[in-house]
Amino acid sequence: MRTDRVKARLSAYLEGDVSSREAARIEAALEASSELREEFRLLQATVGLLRGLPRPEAPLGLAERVVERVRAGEAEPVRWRDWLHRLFEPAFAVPLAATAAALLVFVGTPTGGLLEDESAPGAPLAASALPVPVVTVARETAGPEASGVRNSSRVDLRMPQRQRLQMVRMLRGAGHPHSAALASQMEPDGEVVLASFAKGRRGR
Amino acid sequence: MTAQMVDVSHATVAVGSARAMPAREIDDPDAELVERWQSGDEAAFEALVRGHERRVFGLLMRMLGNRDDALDVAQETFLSLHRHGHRFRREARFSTFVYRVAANAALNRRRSLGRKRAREQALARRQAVGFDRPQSPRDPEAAAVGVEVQERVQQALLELPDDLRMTLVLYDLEGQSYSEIAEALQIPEGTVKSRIHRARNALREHLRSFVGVDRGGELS
Repeated sequence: MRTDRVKARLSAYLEGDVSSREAARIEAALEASSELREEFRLLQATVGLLRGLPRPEAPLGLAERVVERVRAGEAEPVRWRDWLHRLFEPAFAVPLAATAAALLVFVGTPTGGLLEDESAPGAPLAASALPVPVVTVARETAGPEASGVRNSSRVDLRMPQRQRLQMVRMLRGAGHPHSAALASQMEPDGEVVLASFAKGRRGR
Repeated sequence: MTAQMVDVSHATVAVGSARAMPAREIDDPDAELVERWQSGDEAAFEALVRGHERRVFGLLMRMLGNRDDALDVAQETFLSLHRHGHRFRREARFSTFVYRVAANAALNRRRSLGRKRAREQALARRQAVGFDRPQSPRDPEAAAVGVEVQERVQQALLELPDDLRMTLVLYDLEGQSYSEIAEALQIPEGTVKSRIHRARNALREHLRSFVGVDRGGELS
């Protein structure tokens, strides 16, 4: 048996986790090598030190504090209704609404990214061919040359009436001034632009 | 397999005496308290907490290396136990269930602490005594050496990866059997053994420069 292999198996040997055949080989190797014997002694010393570590005392009052917290209801199981209720608290609802809006924009983009393909046809995409919410891409072929931008494009997110009402309800339920303001912007009939992105290619 | 005893000065280590696996019939000293608690007796829960607080705190101290974190996670462990106590089916010892919850809590805390803070804590530990002194020191000089040795061993423990350290602590410090550790950590027994041996080898390397061994096998 090679020395490094024996070294790696010494702990298993110490615990009796080796077969009698392997044990005999290890013992023969130990007999033949002073280096291995020293490794074995070092391992025994290490395990001895480890097992000699005292178990720390628990701080006074730990059990009392646990019982106190149990009585205060901190160990009650969290029910799904509680989580649902939490979703409508401002601290959760506002970021959730913002994240949802951002996700809708990205998921709704047919190419999977915004304006990556600027050579795509410039006509607005058909709503029936898109997942909701409706995303339209408008191209301005005659870009404002004065600013050095041409071939600029714009992506608008438009939501169908049913989804818009759902989001309005969610935003109003959040009870936060910002979400309420966003909800009021979404209420009127007609198309609502939730997000608009524009990107242009600099003229050379 | 024949067992032989090897005296290594600080502790007695049995060669070839792997702890016996528990019988299939669970002989659980906590069975009565658990039954009372699961029937709604909160006093029984308090008794269980008192009965296990030291081993839970000890495990967490060895895993986290910080008294405040250990105390915090110990409380969370018992709250979690209370919260999920109905899931304990008495197919294993209650202490194994406790270790399982504590181990998960410790590993979660380690992950949230992040490596940076762990390194900072390791540095701070070198400068502070965080562990108990031996109960009956032989003499002041020996006691001082004992504390230094304990700190070095604890420091070396904290250098190990979390999964190796947890397994090693449960085996060598908490005295759990392979099967109990496998149950607590939800890993196969073979993995338990492998982790213990790898952890010991790594620990041996960490302590190599610190623990001198003379030809007689005594620590120097």
